Amino acid sequence: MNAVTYAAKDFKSDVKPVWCPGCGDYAVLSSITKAFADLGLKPHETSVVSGIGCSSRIPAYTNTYGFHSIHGRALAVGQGLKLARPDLTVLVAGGDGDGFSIGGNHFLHACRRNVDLTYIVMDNRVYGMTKGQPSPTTESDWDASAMAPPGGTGMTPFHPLAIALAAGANFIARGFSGDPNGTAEIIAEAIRHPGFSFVAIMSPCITFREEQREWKETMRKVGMEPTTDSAQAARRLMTDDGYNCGVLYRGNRVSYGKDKIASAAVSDLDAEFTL
Amino acid sequence: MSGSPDFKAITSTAELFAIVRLMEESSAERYRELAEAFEISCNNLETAEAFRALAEGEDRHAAEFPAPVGPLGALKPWGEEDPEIADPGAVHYLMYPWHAYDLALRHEQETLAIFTALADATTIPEVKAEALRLVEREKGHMDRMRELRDIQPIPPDDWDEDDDPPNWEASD
Amino acid sequence: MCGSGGAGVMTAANMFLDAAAEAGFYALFGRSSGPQIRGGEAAALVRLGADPITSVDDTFDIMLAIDWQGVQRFAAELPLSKSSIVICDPAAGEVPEVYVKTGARIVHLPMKDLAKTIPGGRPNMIALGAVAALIGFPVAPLTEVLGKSLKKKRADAFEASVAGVKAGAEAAATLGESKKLAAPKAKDVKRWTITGNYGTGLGAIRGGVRFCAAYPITPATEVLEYLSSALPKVGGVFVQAEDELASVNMCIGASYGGEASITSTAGPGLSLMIEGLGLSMASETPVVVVDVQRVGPSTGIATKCEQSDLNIAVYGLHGDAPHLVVAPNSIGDCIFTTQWGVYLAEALQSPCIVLSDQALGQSRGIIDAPADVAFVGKRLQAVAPAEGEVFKRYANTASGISPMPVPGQEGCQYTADGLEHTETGTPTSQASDHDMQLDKRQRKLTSFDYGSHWATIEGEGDIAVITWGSCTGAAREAVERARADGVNAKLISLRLISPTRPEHLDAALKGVKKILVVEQSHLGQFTRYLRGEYDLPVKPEQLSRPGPLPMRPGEIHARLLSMGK
Repeated sequence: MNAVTYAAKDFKSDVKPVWCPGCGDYAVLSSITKAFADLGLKPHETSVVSGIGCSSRIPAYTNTYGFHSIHGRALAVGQGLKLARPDLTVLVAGGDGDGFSIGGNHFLHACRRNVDLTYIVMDNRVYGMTKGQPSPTTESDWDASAMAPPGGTGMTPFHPLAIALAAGANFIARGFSGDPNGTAEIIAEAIRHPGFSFVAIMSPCITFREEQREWKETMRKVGMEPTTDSAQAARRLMTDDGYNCGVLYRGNRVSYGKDKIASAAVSDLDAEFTL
Repeated sequence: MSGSPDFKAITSTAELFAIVRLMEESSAERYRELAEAFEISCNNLETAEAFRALAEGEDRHAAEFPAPVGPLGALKPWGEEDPEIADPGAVHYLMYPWHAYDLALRHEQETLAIFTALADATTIPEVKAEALRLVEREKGHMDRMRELRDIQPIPPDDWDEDDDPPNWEASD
Repeated sequence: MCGSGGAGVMTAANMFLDAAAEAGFYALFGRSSGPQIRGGEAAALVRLGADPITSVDDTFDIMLAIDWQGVQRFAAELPLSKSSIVICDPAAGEVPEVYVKTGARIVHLPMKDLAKTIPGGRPNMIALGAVAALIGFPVAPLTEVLGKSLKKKRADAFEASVAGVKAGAEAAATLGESKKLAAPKAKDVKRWTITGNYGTGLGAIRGGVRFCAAYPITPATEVLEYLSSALPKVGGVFVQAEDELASVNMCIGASYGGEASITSTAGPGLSLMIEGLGLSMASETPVVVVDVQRVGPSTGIATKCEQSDLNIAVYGLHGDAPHLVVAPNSIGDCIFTTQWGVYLAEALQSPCIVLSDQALGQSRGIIDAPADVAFVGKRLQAVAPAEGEVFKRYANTASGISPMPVPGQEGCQYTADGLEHTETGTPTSQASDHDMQLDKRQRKLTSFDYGSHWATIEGEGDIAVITWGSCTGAAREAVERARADGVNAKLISLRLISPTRPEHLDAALKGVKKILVVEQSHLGQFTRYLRGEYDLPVKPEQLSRPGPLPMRPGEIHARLLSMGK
């Protein structure tokens, strides 16, 4: 049979995004579909799973099997899907509130569990869908919204990459929506890498965080080769200012899960209870 | 964050045309996406219409070049980004059609700079000759874009002030 | 048989049950224990007989206390009568007042001292021997069981235990007479020994489940324990999740991938899973959640039984969210009802809550072998649409069931969504789309043919006893006793709690003049449910109480006699 190849546009659906004009998520969608095409994946053997939030609308905009689930639970749905169907390529995507606040516990344990899937967080450091509240990654003094307390939250922002490393993620990278080709390459590498791959993509919310337009100037390519040494990665991440883009850590842990091989028939299970 | 274009990757006029066509196509796609965004998520129909017209213009530009024979493969002459892809952060939900054409004008300008640099950098005579022709072509596009922009109503000074802002009364 | 932790009452009782199984008896073995992991007081509650047993009795014939530490806390759960015998060790101190007051005959058996006379001897083996001898239980199967369970470990432990049982049996002669066990009839009948929770696990696999993600919680942990070892054997996957939110959502993800999936929990976990159940319901991704009910609200009493999760199971989801709720009504029925629940969930693409309870789940029974029924979950398969047409995942079909593809199937890609959606799955906020999907999701549940399994119905009479879950056993026994007294009643135990079956219940209640509802809830949740959801022909009487005390046959029997006057 001739191998059918799919272009990036074959991975996009006809559903029009509800994102604001200028939202970084458009470019992330393009990067994801480009990565799928570059990897030679097939839409029907690929799945995009999300939670709730602006960026979590993404599955409907792809032509893959998708699941727009509930707030914070995308990683649980995605891991269940991958464990039940190891043959599928599973990509879980969402925002910073979805992934690090309500879904924080699942994030930690997904890193630990190391199921072979890729998790993309489109980080804009704000709750966009509910109109501008601070998120776990919001700067502690940000108060440029009526939805934020005067003087800011006073809370230290969550450091997703350092936490991912500490929790055991097997691949850690940062991308920027303003660099769609570079981000597509990172996503493709993340999908290829075994185990739990975490890609934080800085994706500006120009509606509630107008100042994030400047990320175009502040984001930079990380000047170092990715390390496989977690201690070195830890040092890099703890001194990281949040603007270094690229693959930062490549681990070599074995993915979670065993091959599904039946060694008994269902009727064999009766023996344990039969007198 | 864009890197400098790798002009050495272009070794023939066929490759150059393929790249230019790709640039025009991706610009069209991006303008079309913006048109939809302005229409669907913020009811800014005038600006949506402007982006739709820009997308159609890019379609016509793309059609001036032959479709590449076979896949482009890993041919990525401009490094990190296609110059004509509009910068997502450069738009505003209240922007006017004037801004849309102004944005397009800036992108034509960037493209012109790229072709000029290519003409300077390439060592292949045919490519250089075509690059120079492209420079002239882009100058024409820029003139046209300037005309289109200037027939639009000029936005008032307070064009980005919103009486019903997305996160009402920003505190600064 | 009760004692403090380490006294070995559970070990002795389990051996006793194994021996009873060997000898051809039927049995029901429940346990009551304090909240401690180790060292707390524990009681093994065993009912033994020649005929099948599905209920606890009104009182115990024999109470054997190895010591009295903390045992008075169980007093209410260990009803005794004047004809009961309390066997205790004089070394354990005075018999607590609460037991003396019952009027039971108190006899002494120096278990500790007797154990000391045997090298390696233990008081629980003395107790086992004494009880066996007292009720005329054959010694041979006991020795056989001891051999099976101990010989592999240490020969001297086996010798010591056999000697202990023998010494206990000899000492029983000093204890006076007790009720004797009737000879077993069931030697040739196929019987099983299983707990409700293991039965639930087995039923799930029989129904086609090949994925389970679960989080440990009392008293549901044994479901997880069983599936963690059984699922891999049949090519399935078991995951211990980080919490109940993850459990249910992992199951939803696996189910979306095409695998029938189950999770098990108790009330506190069900509370957390409700949002996931809403997603399962709205996205029409089947999932089965077993709730082994315990005493609520909040953490409540984790180790004891109550039927008070009915409201959350039926009404807990926000929005208009009809879904399946089924309830097993015996240990053996845990197998069937869970299997059926999986079948229904898959056929109807709906969440299904299996409302088991602690009394069923953690009790071990010797029961007739359950039938192997042919219910295996199957979804309506999707077919890829013609070229140029869009696949409609949520097609508005006559049955309300829309064909569901399995990822990997070309041309049927769709996005499952908890957002209200159109037939193709695209998010919508339009009234007409919402109406269509609400109707569709309700229609598939109400128009389905559930067959005769919606309830267990036994007997005929002017009075109907409507009950559910673990109360069914006591109600059944009460109905049998009432019949012997000339009062005829019909037992109706609802297996399908939701959706309701109004026409079926109407038919079952035809000619009935009085209704008694029996349940284990303080609010009378089941009574309220019946009165709210069904047009009952008469106002029902209610016999209910909260956990941890079980409904016993005697009190139901007494009520039936007064109703039958």
